[in-house]
Amino acid sequence: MTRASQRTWQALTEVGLVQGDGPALETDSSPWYVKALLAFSGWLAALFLLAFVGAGFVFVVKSGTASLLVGALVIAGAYFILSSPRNEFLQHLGLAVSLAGQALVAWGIFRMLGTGEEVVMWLLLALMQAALAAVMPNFVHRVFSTFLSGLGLAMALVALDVPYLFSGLALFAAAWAWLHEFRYPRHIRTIQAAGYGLVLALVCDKAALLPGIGVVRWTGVQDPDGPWVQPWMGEVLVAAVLLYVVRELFRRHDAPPGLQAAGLLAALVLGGASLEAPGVAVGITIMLLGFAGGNRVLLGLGAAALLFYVSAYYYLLDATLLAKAQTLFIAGIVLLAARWSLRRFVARAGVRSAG
Amino acid sequence: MATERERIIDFVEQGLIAKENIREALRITNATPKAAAWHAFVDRLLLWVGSLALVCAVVFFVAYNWHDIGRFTRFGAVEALIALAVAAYCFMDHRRLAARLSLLAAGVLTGVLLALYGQVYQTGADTWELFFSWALLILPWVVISRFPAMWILWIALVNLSIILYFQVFRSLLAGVLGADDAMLWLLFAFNTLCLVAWELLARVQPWLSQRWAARLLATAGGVSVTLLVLDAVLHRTGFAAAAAWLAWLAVLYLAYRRLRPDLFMLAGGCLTGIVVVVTFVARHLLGDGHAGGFLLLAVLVIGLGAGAAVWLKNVHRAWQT
Repeated sequence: MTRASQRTWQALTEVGLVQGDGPALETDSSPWYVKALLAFSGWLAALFLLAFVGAGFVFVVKSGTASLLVGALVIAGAYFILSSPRNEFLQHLGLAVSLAGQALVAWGIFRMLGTGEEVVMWLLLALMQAALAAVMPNFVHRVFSTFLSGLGLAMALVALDVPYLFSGLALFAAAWAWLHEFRYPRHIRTIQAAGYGLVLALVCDKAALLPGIGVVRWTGVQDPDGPWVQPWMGEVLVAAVLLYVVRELFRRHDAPPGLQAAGLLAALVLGGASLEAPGVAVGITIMLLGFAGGNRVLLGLGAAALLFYVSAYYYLLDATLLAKAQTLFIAGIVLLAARWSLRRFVARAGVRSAG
Repeated sequence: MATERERIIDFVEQGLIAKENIREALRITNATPKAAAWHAFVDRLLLWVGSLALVCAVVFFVAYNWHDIGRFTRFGAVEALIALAVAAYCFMDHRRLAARLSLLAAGVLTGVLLALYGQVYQTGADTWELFFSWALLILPWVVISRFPAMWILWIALVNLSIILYFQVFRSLLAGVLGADDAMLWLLFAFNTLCLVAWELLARVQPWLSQRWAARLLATAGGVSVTLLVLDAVLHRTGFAAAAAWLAWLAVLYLAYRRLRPDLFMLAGGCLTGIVVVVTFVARHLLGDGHAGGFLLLAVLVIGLGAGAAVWLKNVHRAWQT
């Protein structure tokens, strides 16, 4: 046990929350950038494996059925590699082999269904990735699969002409995961992997749907009248999730009713601002979830997303720069006024409790 | 370094904390925030986002180029805001975040003023001159700010000036140095110099000890030198780039393994190592287009990645014990 772990264990023992000498072993909790390195090398190796299959076994790539079958076998092989006793080389190998297998299965589905069945194709891919996220015994794999499953669902919704529903749905699922990460202690890493994967898919989807970036266009929304679900409807869903998160956090901290009302009002204002500048509420919600859980990675992700969305607002074509400047000016004044009010409220509460 | 949160998760995973005690364990060890921490967080969040919104409002307003408003009114408005921001800094306690953000806002608005000048008078100046003048003009404020975010803004402006300068003078310098190489050398030298200065000064100036800024500088320098060495590998030119890259890796290892432990920096070194080695081998292996070459490369990547992960985890564990 490390010195820091010993200190933490001691603190918990003193208040009677744990008993005994402490953990006999340290679990694998490497920082996010070591996991990112693992993900990068797995992805790069998978590309070379695919090139190997493409160059050496042309018949596999030419036939949809063969791609599907070989891909499925490769994924099954990866499962057994990843299930073997912990060994860093095997973990890397399993991840790379699985990614290559997934690409073959995706290619097989694409070849067999053709271009007319986008919805079915994306839903199948989303389902496959969701199943892998649940089954594969590797944290990085689970994050990756949840991320791809989310993107698959997002693309299916695009093909159904309702692309803006995804952000609300994904944010709600991510919020639930992060607010309840300790509810099922045995599955804590699985829930966390799902939380990270969903947040990453959400951030990418939101960026791709922003006007000016235009992924939606090439993914083929065919309806000349445009999708019946408009962007603002997606933002309303996101605002509802923000309110749910704020309410849940207040409930956990037994906050006084006045503070709760002010907080919910502030969340409502932020949700409203997000109708004008898409993504702001998503960024803030991720930051709140990160801070609430003491999760710095999530907090940083939320901050980076927020900065990106505010920058992307410049390119939004629906409003003139003058209108955007007015919106931002009002939002800035309201937020700084809210800060001033909060400081006064806390100072008064401090005086009252001191009295 | 592992946080309290990660340590509690470790215990939970091993079934050492009962489910009903988890929330209390998180609270007692400060793994999750208490009321005071929430207040400080919301306070900072409102201040940062509010200030960002106001500064962006000015940027958007000037970019709109509203002809109904006279040029002097526009200049007056931006200059008045700069004066207001500087006055706010002067009247507040300089150590407060609000004071530092005021100075940062003044720094950003100086760039807006220069852009407005170019917009109104159509000076015909190159873009790099705008960013370079901006960096020069705000340097005194940057020095007195004692604020990492402001220094990073300044360093970003200089980086941008260098990139834009080489976009303009590419044709002139291409024959002499190779314009892309010259730009990457300059970016590498500047960012590495900034990193060294940052780390040395952080020993005497506590406000410089925030790791995100040093990591950002190391990433900027590392990306530049990696691109240089990749270019050298792919075009079989420039031993200087390979030598600089190896020297940079050696110094990175010594500095962040021995002198100032930082696993992020070591992970960055591993990443650039993997990319360069794989590119070098691929350059020699894939020439004849055999499928076996791809398989060998896949195994090489897996081996290097696994080796790097094992080493980083061992270093991490050694530091913790």
